[in-house]
Amino acid sequence: MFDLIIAGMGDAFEPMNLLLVFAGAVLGTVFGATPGVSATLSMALLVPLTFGMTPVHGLSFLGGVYCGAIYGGSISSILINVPGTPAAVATMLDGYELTKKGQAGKALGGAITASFFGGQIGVLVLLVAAPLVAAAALHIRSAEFFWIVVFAMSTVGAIGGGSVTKGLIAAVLGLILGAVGTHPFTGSLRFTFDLPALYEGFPVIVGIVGLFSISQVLYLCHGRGMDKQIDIPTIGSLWPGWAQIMKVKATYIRSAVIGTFVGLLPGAGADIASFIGRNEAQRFSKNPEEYGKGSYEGVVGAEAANNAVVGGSLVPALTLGIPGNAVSAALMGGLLIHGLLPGPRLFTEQAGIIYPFILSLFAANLFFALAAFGGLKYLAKVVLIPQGVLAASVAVLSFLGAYAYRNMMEDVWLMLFLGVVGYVLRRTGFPLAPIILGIILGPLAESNLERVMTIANARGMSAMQYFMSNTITVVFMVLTVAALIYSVVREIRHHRSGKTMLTEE
Amino acid sequence: MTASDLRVAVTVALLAGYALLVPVVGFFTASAAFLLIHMSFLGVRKPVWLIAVTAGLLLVAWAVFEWFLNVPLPHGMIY
Repeated sequence: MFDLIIAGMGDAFEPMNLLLVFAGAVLGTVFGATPGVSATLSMALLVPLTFGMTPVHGLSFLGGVYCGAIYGGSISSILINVPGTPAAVATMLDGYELTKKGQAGKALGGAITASFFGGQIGVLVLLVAAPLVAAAALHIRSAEFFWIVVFAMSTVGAIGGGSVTKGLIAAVLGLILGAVGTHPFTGSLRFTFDLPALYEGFPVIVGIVGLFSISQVLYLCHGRGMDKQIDIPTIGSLWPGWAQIMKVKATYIRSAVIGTFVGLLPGAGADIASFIGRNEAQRFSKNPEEYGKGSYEGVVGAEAANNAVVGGSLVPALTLGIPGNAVSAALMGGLLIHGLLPGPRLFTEQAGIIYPFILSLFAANLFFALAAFGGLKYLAKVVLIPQGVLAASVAVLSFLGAYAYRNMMEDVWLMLFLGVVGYVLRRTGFPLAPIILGIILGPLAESNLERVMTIANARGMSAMQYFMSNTITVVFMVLTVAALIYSVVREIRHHRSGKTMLTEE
Repeated sequence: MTASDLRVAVTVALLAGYALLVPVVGFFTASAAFLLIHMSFLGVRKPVWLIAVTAGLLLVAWAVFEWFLNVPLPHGMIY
């Protein structure tokens, strides 16, 4: 493993790659800071730029976008009390209060240092844990893998923000879309409606662009284009000072660890991590009463957690091909375009690509922090972009992305169709992330189930008997049932208390 | 139907028109038309915004896809 890491450094820190990581981190920060452009949307809009790049360059660029976008959301949260991304909602609670007291610089500096630190911890865990998980995953058998995937899908309802029922329905919608295309074993065509664009299955990238970008374009059209006058407050010095940082060092560390673990879980994203990070920070705080009134610690608690999610979420995405959230699903779409199939073999057969990519994430965290310290005044200007300009621009960028994927207009129409569907689903309270997980995980579950049925058949057993004969499989079956029961109980409790949790991305 | 629902419906129609227009007149012409019409429809009136955003986006699209990545965009009758 160490020789692979050392070998990867050459490709990761080569000048052209660093330039692309820097470009990705800055673009990600700018997109993330723009209210109405989430981290998933930033990724969906920027993936097409990597079509012509080498795999290492393309992935490193996208890694930069991921880290930058999650950080960038804090800028508009703190300055104008509008979250740049859903991951930065928790940052707003204390960040904007500090701005109101004229301490915007302190809040912004807290967000930069916390995002940097949390991000690096997450990537460190990724670098150490992913090869170990991948090595173990090589021995996972089809029956076990099938139930791991089913378990991952079932947690969507347990962990996600909104209604469990709607989360699970969305996941099933995704599974149906995932079934489109050529049957993996028999080669017959399913649900293709005679559209050649669907023969190879539903294109994941087109799906992500449609569901997230086009539905967002339509959301941005709710208000009129140029309503309110926005003023950027004066920022002041960004560096919080070592004394301030050391005073809350426990929060930096605690939230970084929390964020990494939340990232590892399927179905939970940076938005949930930042709330948990801030809540735990408050619970352990010496001054819990300051929270909500402009606590530096509160900003750090939220921001260290959401950036730590990046590294954590890539562990299951890269080693098992199971993305933990919509952003890493979009990044996986970028992997697929370069012909890289996420899974344990990535770490042996494609070690020359995957290690440089992971190492480049350290640079990505450094670059967004440097860019923010150096140019926040200029980055912050994106909050002035009128919604009408944003809506039209996102639409054109989406067209570009969907078309350039395979140079097919059919993909543009698929994108528009899914965009309208995505908009209707969002208006009716359905989360979109489970749909993407379903598109990606459906074929994975199916091919493993087919293999199980073939083996079980050969042994004269039913698939269920075969499942029950394996301990690991039974464990995941029990976990799946437990996750579903927990979801239902939680849903009932929420109905009774009449409160909803956070909104999803 | 509220005013915002109407704006969404018109936007869907504009997007469909945009997709129909791309193969006929070319990506750049269709995008310019879509951007100018959609932004003005949403109430962006300042010519600075309209022209700068349209020119900027098309320039970026051309530079990145046609020049840097060598991905040809549909050119149609105009460009």
